[in-house]
Parts: sequence; structure tokens; C-alpha cells
Amino acid sequence: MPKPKMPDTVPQNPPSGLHLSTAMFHILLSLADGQKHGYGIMREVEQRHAVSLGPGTLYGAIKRMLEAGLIGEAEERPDPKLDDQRRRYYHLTPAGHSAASAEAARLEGLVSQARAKQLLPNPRPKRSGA
Amino acid sequence: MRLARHPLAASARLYRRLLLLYPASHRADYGRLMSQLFEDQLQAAWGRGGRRALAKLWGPALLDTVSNVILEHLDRWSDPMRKGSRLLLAAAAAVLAVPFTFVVLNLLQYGLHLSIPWNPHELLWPQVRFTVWRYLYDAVIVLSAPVALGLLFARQLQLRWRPQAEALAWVVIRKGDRIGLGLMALCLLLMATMGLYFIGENLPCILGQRIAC
Repeated sequence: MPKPKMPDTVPQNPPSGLHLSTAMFHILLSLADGQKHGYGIMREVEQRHAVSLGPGTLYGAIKRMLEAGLIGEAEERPDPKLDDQRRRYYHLTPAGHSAASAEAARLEGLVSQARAKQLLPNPRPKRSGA
Repeated sequence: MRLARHPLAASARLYRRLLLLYPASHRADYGRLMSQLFEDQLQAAWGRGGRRALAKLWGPALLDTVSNVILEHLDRWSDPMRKGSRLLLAAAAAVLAVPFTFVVLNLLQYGLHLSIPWNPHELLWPQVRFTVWRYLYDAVIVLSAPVALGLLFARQLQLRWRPQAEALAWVVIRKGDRIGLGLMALCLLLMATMGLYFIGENLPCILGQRIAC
């Protein structure tokens, strides 16, 4: 069995001046496919990743990411008729997109290292011509 | 959305009380949103499993609140900008102490003719014999208020890097800071009072009605 190539280095945390916590990365991931309000983010993170974000953690992370320019507050609402006017919607900024990509690459590097050290099974090769 | 059923309303009310533990600035920005989010969680839990689900929600909610209250307070205190801001506030308050007592005591004594048993300025003034010290003393009284106003104004504004605009920007950091705004108003009041006092005292000289000024 050929040994998978181990990456030399794992990319460092994104150079946004802010250390991305797990909660922040989950929020960035949730916003990657469109703007959402706080409860929408919380529900998606809970459903997709089985991670529970409390109101304090969620809005603490949102505050820090707004200050760092990783996310922004949306001025237009998706459909004002369908939603509570008091909700605030958030969207990913280009800096937030880069930060999320850099963090994903860093995690991918870590997963590759884990595979190389046989902590994870190697993915099955895709069959050609299927 | 109003929570009509009692356990939901009581939980929402209790959570709003818990939010008082957060720093005021954080509460002002995110208190309503956190409370709304928790009410959404309460509604969902109630629909899922009634009182039992509601009770299960409280454990993580308490942990979340305690850990984030500590984090927000630590964050607030460890921020060097905010620490600097507190120092500026303390410095401005200290600088204002001399002209404030000067103006208040003189207004009481000479404006309202109230007998002051001990006026530190009257006590100090005959002791200050050297001209340089007299000028210095006058300068402290006259210039303290504008200096304090400058310190407070610098505190209201902060230079920050705006990543989205790729530019430095002055931003107002302390919206509705009562102590800071109150001290700024006091500075302006002191400056106006002293201005009127000096004009009133020197007007006869300016108009040529008095020779020795």
C-alpha cells in the first residue's frame, strides 16, 4: 500500500488578526452559502455539525468577527414580510471568506497528517468511467 | 413575539435578568438579540418536549452565560484601548479637580456671599510669593478645563484599522458614556464660568475705567 504523502507544514491560522475559535469557524461555514440571522446560524450549526452554540457564545463570536471585518451586517433582508423585523442578518465578507478558506486548508492539512499517521483510514480511490 | 405560557415567560424573564451580568456595552449591543435567540430556543424546546425539554435547556444556557460573562468582562478589561480610555477618564477627572473647587468655592463665597470656613485657594494664594509660581497656579486654573476636555475628546475617538475599507478610520467608541459626557459638559461649564469671571473682572480695564489692573 503506497504511503500517503505527509504535508510538510500545516497552514497557520488566517492572517486576519483574530484567532478563529471553533465557534467562529462554524459561523463562517454557516454563512458561506448566504446571509442568515442569529437563530438561523445556531440551528444550522446544531443540525449539520451537532454543535450547540448558546446565545452568549454566538453573539460573542459575532461581535469579534464584526470587529475584525470577517462578517458584516446585511442591510437588506431576504424577505421582510416573512420574518421578524427585529432580527439582524449577517453575511460573509471577502476577508471572512479568505479566513474560512485558510482555516479549512489548515484543518485539511491536519487531517492529511492524521491519515499519514494511520489515525484515519485512507479514502477509497474513485473508480474511473463509472 | 410575546410568550404567553407561564413557564416560557418565566424562563425568558429569568434569562433577561441574567443578561444584566454582562458588561453594559455588550448588553446594549447584543442583549436584545441574545434574549430573542433564547426565546426562540425556549419555544423550540417547549414544542419538542414541554417542561422537561425546557429544564434541559437551562443547564447549557447557564454554562454559556457564566463562561461568556467572564470572557466579556476579561475582554473589556484586557483591551489596551479601553484601559487607556479609563486612564484618560481618570486623568481628566483629576485635572478638573483644581479649577472645579476654585470655581465652586469662589461662586459660593463671592457670588452667593456664603461664608466658607476654609477656602484652600485663599489660604494658598498669600503663600505663593514667587511670580513664576503665581503664573503657574493661574495657568493650572485657566488651562485645566481645556486640557481635560482634550483628554476626554481623545478618549471618545479611536483610530482603528477598517479591514473592509482597507483604511484607517476614526470611530466613536463610547456612545452614551454618561461619565465621559458629563465631564465634558463640566469642562465647558467651567470654561464658560471662568471666561465670564475674567471678562467681568477685566472689563473696567478694557474700557479704560480703571488704571491699575
